[in-house]
Amino acid sequence: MGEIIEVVQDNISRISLPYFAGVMAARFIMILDDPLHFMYAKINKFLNKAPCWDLTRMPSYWVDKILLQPPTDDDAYYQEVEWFQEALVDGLRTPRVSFSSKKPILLY
Amino acid sequence: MRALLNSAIEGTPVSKPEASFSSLRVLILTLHDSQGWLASDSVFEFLDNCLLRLIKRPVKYYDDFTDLASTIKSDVMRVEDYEIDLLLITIIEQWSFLVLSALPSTIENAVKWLSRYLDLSMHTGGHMILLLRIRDHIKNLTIDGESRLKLSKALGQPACYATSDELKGFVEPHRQTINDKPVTYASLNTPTFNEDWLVVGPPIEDEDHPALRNWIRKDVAGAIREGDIGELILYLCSDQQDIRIQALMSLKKFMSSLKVFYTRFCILE
Repeated sequence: MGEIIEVVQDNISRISLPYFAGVMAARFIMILDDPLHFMYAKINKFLNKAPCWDLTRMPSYWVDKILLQPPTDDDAYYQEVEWFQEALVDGLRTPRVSFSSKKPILLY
Repeated sequence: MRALLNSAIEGTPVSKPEASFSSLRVLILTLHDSQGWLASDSVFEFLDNCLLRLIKRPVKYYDDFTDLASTIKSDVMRVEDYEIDLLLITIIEQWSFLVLSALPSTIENAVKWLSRYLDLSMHTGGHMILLLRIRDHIKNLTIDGESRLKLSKALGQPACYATSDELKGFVEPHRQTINDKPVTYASLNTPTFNEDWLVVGPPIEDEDHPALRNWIRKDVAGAIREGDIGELILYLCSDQQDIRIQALMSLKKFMSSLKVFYTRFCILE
């Protein structure tokens, strides 16, 4: 929660958070409430990586961690891919995909 | 062979009790010489090892099977209705040892046998999606590229054993359907789209923004579990500046409530 606030508070009046980041953050909140969720470990690792998020690198980070790295549970690969696919589709709510913008929204 | 296997597995959970076609018969059919393939001694040794383990600890493999079945979305109500042999679950466990210790010719022979076994399991009523999951598990454990390719082709075509006289006499080809359409491997590979979704598109932002008010009426845990905090975070993505600012203020207030809740929780502990 604190991390998403850190991400947006300096720029929220000027520009909206990209939907992909918002969707992922909303899903993180639900999963952190359930330590037995198959994505819990990877999300924990992501949140402990840094106090702020680099929004331009979020999609590639998760593509690497889910599609190109082994799953946390041995037989949960397809579940993780399905989870990520749903998040990607859910994040395409507007024609503007801000994480591809040249200037990162986040400044650490 | 039938008599020997019968005596070994009688009274054990190796056979699917609910199966429309005896799993023992399936196993024997796949071990027949056919189309130039001959089951090697190593395949029999591997099977012997798997069957022995399954007979000794059936509960463990039943648990593994239910865990695997729970990973797929299905309308099947009972685990038994998947019509999958527990022998396949044992094979998943033992396959990595076979791959590491056996000669390439043994692995090739075993892969051919396993492809036949999977094909015939599908043809005699095995749950297609679960069989695909099992096949992919085993394929991921296989190192040799050619063997992996052969396994990829398993379950991709109708069982060629339908022409065998023995099979014709005892089973009616089990037709699986999804939404009243016959299931084929191609249909499973083709993503099925909800056409209504394609027309409507992703969710539209609610103009009332109810989550700005709803979270206040709930306790910390309820606000998270019922999705109100998730909605607040999504309001940060809104095109309306005032909504974004209100959502940020709400999230900061919720953070304060969360800290108070956590402090009280620690004190009580």
